[in-house]
Amino acid sequence: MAAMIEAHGLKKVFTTGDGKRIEAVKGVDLAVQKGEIFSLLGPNGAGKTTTINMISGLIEPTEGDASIGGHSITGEPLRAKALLGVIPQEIALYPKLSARQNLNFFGKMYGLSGADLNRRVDEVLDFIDLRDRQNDRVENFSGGMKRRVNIGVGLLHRPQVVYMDEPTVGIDPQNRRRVLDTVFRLRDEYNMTVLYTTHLMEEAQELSDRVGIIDHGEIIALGTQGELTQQVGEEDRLTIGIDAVQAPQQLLDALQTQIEGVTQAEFLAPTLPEGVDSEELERKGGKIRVLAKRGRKALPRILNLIEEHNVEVNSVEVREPDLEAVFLHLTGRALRD
Amino acid sequence: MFNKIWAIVQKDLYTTFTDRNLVLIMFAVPLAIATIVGVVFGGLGDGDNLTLDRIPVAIVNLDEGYESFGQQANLGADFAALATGGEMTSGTSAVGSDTSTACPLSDAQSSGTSQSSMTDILAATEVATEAEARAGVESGDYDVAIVFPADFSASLSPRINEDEASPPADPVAVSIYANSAQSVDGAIVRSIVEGYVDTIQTGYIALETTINSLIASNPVAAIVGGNNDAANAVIACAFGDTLATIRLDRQSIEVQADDEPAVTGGAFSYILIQIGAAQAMVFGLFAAQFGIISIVEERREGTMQRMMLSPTPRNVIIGGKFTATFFMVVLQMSVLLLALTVIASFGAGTFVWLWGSNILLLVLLILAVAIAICGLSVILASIARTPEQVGTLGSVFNILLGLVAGAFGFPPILPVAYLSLIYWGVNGLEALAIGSTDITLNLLVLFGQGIVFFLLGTWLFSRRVEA
Ligand SMILES: Nc1ncnc2c1ncn2[C@@H]1O[C@H](COP(=O)(O)OP(=O)(O)O)[C@@H](O)[C@H]1O
Ligand SMILES: [Mg+2]
Repeated sequence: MAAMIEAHGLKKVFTTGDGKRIEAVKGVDLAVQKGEIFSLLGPNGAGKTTTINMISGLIEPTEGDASIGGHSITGEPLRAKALLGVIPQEIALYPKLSARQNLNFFGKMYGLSGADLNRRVDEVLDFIDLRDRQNDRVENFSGGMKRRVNIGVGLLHRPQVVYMDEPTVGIDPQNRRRVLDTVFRLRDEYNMTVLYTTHLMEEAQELSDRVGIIDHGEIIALGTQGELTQQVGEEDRLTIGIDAVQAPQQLLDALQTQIEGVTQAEFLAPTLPEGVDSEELERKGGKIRVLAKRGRKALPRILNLIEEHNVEVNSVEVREPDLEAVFLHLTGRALRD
Repeated sequence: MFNKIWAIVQKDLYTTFTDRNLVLIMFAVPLAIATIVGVVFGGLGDGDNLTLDRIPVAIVNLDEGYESFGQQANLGADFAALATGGEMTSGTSAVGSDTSTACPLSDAQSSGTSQSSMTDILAATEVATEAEARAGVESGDYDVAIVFPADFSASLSPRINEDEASPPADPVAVSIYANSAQSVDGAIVRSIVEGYVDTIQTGYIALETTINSLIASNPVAAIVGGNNDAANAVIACAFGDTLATIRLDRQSIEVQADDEPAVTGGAFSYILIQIGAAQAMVFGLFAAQFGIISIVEERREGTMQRMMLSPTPRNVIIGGKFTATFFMVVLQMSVLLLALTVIASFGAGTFVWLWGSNILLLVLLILAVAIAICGLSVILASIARTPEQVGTLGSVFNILLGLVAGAFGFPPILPVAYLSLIYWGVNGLEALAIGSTDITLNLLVLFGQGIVFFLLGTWLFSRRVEA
């Protein structure tokens, strides 16, 4: 059976006002199966939204094409769009209209009307748990409630495929939990196919059947979490906070050469918001990041070595292989950098 | 498809009318302006009606009269007699009631029982020579001087047995001198004379009247538009009928208890038509501007994109937005025209309908103007990227259109004015107001502009970089 979402060689080049070319997406291939939750994980500016915009028919690809349920988004846009519900990254609602009026209006845009429309709106209001506030203007809602309405609008027409573009940005943990649960419900109760984008490793890790890691407009890794973490082997990641603003190079060299299993050791300079004085910087100190096989076991020896170099350790964090490590492994950068 | 367009229109109208500021700007402000105009130009306010003193006029009758088929007539002398309240000398019965143009104020004519004559408007004095009359105007004794030339009657006389090949007579020149500080009076008198001549005119004789302004620069003249033919036509209408019947109906002229004559409905309504027609256009343009701002805002807020994500063709969405704009423009102009009528009615103390009796043409004209305005706004929407740009560009558009069309008191700048929808709209409204039905050209130009603008605008729109 063909995939629910397919993309082939998607490229997008933006030309800015001053004639500069920005290659936002440089050839993305995707295939998401029916009933799957697929995450597109990548840092800000990686090209997630641009990709979503192309495969939802909002902007035209410079090259390549995508299809939804077998309908080309460029060839048969109306058929493809009818199968698709999109929950945009930014809240896109009419603030002066009530939750119900917003749902009603967009329902009509999806061709719903009459009793059918009313029933769907009721259903969605229940689903996003806003029935008691349905007649309040959206402008008076909290951020989390707006998010929920934003999601509800994308579900009105019972799409087979749902795109969610960073739906948890800027909301509190409680509402975020709600959103993540919603994603599972969409798959489990409605058998929907979900394409979810995020820059948060934890979300991708929790939700996804499969993950595509995107960076600088390219998918640099794609597979189940197991498949991806295998790429980095059994390396643990140790992050050691130190009270110096610079680590001696000999220390970093020593870590890599003298301790078995260490594949990488680097210093991360402290980062502070602009305008903070250097005293504050010194107090915060930097970090040493070490990648090591069986890192937990090697930890005592690593700490010893650091002390031998007269550097004081403030904190230690050990992480087993995860998507963050995969990203780090592939790009040399942390996802949040 | 129409369901979706209608859904967009409904949503837009709803959001507009639930936005208190927008309602204020779109409806309360124009009403306030119209009311202020009403108060400033009289008719409304402290209960006193606008009182125009009788216009002091000097009449110089150099007319030598004519004789044909044994009938004698001196039309210049007749006019002087009518104006001064004296006896008519000639047996002219041509002063008939055949100029029954449907005037804005004549609807209520039948209700009036008390009527008054031309002497209620003019305080006329016969003066022997042109020089004396001019001197009188210059010194301020008279506001206006009318000089009938020697061949006045002759040139207006029927030419029945004449050789077909004979060239048409030279236009007869009735000179009207007005102190430019009194150019409103000048315009009124000129209209009266024109109405008089129209009434008796037979055949193809052309009439040329001239107003020679003796003193320059007068703001009132600018507001009322002394150079504006349409303006004069409105006056001609208000007073022309008077001449035809040598009476003014009650709505035009109100005789107060102390027998001091006062003009209310006539001049006041005329001012409202003048200012209101241009205002209707300008506010129509502003209403469209709000429509475009809402398009730009929807793009910024992402709701436009959200509509585009639904299985709805792009054209339907754009069509919906512009249909909504169209509704707002029509509504805005209609409200304004109605409001002016209400104010005119208050001024006259009775119901006065300003915009002519042909409602069908009026509706067509409003629709045509709205289509032209919406076409223009498609272009604006395709250029502007932010609401601020819409505001700036839109205002520049509007001011230019108004400026060349003469909406700000200056005369229209021809032929550039022919490009301005304000020109055609104002011109059409004024024509309707004086009872003319000849606005076919206005309708054609406006509809045509609408289509051209729309095509150009959608072309520009489609060339625009996405998102
Ligand atoms: N309309 C646009 N014009 C120019 N550059 C753009 C435009 N949209 C996005 N970009 C650029 O493309 C890159 C990818 O952006 P985006 O897809 O929004 O990333 P993400 O959603 O992963 O944060 C960024 O460098 C961004 O600046
Ligand atoms: Mg994004």
